[in-house]
Amino acid sequence: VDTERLHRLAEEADAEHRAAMRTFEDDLAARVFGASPEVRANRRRFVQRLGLGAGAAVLSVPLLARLAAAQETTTTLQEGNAGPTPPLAPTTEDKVLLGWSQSLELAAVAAYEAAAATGRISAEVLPVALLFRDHHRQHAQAHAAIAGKAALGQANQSVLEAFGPQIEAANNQTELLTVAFQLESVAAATYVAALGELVGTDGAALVASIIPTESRHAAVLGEVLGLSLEEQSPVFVDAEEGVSPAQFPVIAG
Amino acid sequence: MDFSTDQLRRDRRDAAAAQAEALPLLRRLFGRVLDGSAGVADQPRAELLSGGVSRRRFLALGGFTVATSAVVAACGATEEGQIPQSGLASTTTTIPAYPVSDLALVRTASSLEYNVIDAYGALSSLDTMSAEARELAAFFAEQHREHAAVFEAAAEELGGNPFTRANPVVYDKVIAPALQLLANQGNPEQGIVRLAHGLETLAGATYQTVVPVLTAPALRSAAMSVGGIEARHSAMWVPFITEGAIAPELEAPAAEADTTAVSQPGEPVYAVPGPYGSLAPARVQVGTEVVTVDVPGPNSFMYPELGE
Repeated sequence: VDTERLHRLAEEADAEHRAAMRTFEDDLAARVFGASPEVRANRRRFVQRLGLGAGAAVLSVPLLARLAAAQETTTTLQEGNAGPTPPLAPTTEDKVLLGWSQSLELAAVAAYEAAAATGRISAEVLPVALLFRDHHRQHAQAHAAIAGKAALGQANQSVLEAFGPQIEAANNQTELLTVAFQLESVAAATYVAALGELVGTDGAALVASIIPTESRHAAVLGEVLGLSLEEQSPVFVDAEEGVSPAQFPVIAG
Repeated sequence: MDFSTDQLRRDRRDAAAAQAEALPLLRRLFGRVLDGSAGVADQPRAELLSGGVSRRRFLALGGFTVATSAVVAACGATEEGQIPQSGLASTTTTIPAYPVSDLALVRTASSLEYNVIDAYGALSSLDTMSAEARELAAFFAEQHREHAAVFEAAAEELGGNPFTRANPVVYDKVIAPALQLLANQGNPEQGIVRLAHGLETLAGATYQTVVPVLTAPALRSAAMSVGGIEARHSAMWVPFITEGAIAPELEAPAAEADTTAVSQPGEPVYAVPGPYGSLAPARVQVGTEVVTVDVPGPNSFMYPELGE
């Protein structure tokens, strides 16, 4: 057998293997992801929109509509479950979303540093603000660890454009802490929205571990500001009050 | 090169036949694992699916063989419909042998909300609770009712019956003993607010715990839309606690700490205990006693098989 003939035989075998595996992969994917090709295509489009600043908020998560959509899939589900057993590792879309979340955390770090630099925060409150800044930095590092190259290591410029002028315009500590309270509340709401999108449970678990801390930050700031009970503790962390990658791309403009 | 064309053809034909024979078996195996009929425990199934993001990577993973062999061992020589047991399955005999489904978890969630509502009712009836603390308890209890309603609705959406009362296991193992301990010590106010703080901390940790177990992202989002608020509740109880502080990093060194207001030294309690939500057992000090309360586990889930 000459080398050329051997190559042709190998190619034939490879082609047969691929033909056989194509159906296997699709069958398996449908069972694992529990989604129709249309749903998966929509998810791809969602990721393509990330960071482009186009369209309305795409992260809102009406619970019951999502559940209904999940139940419409043709996948055989375990009784009492809304979906198939999810994967542990983050999907490509998850990584993009977690990478964007890192930019949000780095924007929070920058916001606290800008607030501290104004000199309008008292010596008593300043260590609290700097501690919260450190927590956000740790969250950003955690996102980077799981998002890999999708984490750009940049503070979200769009978020800074929104909150920066408020920090600069703040005349006193109360106004600065009010901005911080809003930032923490928005961050927690954004993560609740993100949980409605994340597929892999590793990323979801990370986000779920951050939400309580940012909620606690908000509660402490609300206490310092003397907010009402209703302001300090709404009934739910409302995903609709979060920000989205479409609204706040990492790179502004 | 010295190859026989005929031998190569024969080998290729044999390989193709072996593959054709193996693929349907693999399909059936995966099908049984994924639809639950193989009775494979969640962990090996999760291991089988790890890396599922990239289907190509999934099929090429070096660890795939190891994970598959564990699953195959559990599936082997078992008739359809039987539930095989393997060393990877839980060996705890006291845990009910029901599947931990989304429905079981949302029923457990609503049951815990009723536990907290009932606990607030019991604590608020104590004369030693201050009016300010009673106001906060009433405010939080109302929010817990709203939380319970969400999970009751979710249970119905999942095709099950909602659980509309307190979790009996949590009541028997946690709430009742804590209330008794309080009563034994004269219902000290610090014990009351510490218990309230502990229950909110526990509730928040519970939601965080179930997030990776819930199969639907929307359910995870719903869980933490509540879990985040429980965390706020927990933080808002801290100012009522004598040894309460914002964070461990901000505490004054012990030698400089002002201890004049402390009638009885207690464990410190923090509004922001750390950079991440903790899943560690909550420590609740009631007078001189410290009760350690774990996040509810499978033995306290309200499985649909248990009925209402």
